Amino acid sequence: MLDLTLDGGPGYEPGSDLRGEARWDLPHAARRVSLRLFWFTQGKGQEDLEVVYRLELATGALQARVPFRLTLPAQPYSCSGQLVSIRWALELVADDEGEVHRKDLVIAPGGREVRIDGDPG
Amino acid sequence: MRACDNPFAVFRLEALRFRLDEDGWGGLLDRWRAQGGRGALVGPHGSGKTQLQRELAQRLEAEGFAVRRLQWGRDRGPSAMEQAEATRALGPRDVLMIDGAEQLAPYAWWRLRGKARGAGGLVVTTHRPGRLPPLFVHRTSLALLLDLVGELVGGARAAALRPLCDALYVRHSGNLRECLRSLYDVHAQRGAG
Repeated sequence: MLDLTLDGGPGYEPGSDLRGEARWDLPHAARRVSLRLFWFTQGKGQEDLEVVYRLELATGALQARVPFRLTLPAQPYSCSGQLVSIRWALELVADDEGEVHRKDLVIAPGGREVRIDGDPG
Repeated sequence: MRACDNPFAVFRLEALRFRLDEDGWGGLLDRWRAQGGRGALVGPHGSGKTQLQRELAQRLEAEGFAVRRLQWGRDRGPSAMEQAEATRALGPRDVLMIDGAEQLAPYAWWRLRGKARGAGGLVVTTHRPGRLPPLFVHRTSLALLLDLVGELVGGARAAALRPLCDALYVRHSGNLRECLRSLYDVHAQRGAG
């Protein structure tokens, strides 16, 4: 089991601090448990993705609770239009891709996704 | 409609499984082995060659093969460095997969095939037969398009889209990828939920 608890959210101001706690309880010791923050695109074209923050939390622990704090990037904003959406997510990953727990985030002014097609809603 | 909510967004299309049952997979893998790990996935544009190659790669990786991929599009292909890396020291547990092999000039194809001589497999996608013996010959149909649309939007909405699918299938000459891209546009413009 992998789990992430975040203070606040899912909407956050760009550049603000994100605090939370990562927890895991695994059947066998993971060689590596890490946290990664990334944005990715979804829409009509091929997906793009960039990992902007990676933190190695522990190695070899079957169970753990690890508080973390990171400063969210200033950009790109979470946004959506008809052709593309930019989305943010935080993932807790054990053994590279062995097991993954993901939380979707919104990083934009006011913590609200920006609409780029003029459609308010 | 937000792009990420569009039922025809690329990430949803890529999650569609290639329509091949276990008997079909068994036959394809038997042919692959019988042909010494060599073969081509042959079919027209938008008929699922890349998807089938991706799923074949997953099955071969599950059997312990290491799969390396090179992809050529109409506009660009891998750099010389990427090609060198993908073809370096290929061994019997390595499989080289080339997507878009018809984009390679004859000499480039001859060189790549030579570098893959020691590999456990070489699987290409191509629009016409010829470069390697066929492993699978792709065909599209309106029924297949409707099946895919049904998986993406559900049966009731797929039924409502039937006339549009009929028209798109003809307009795009059976190219399912283009049909699905057009359906993306229709949904984006309608803002349909």
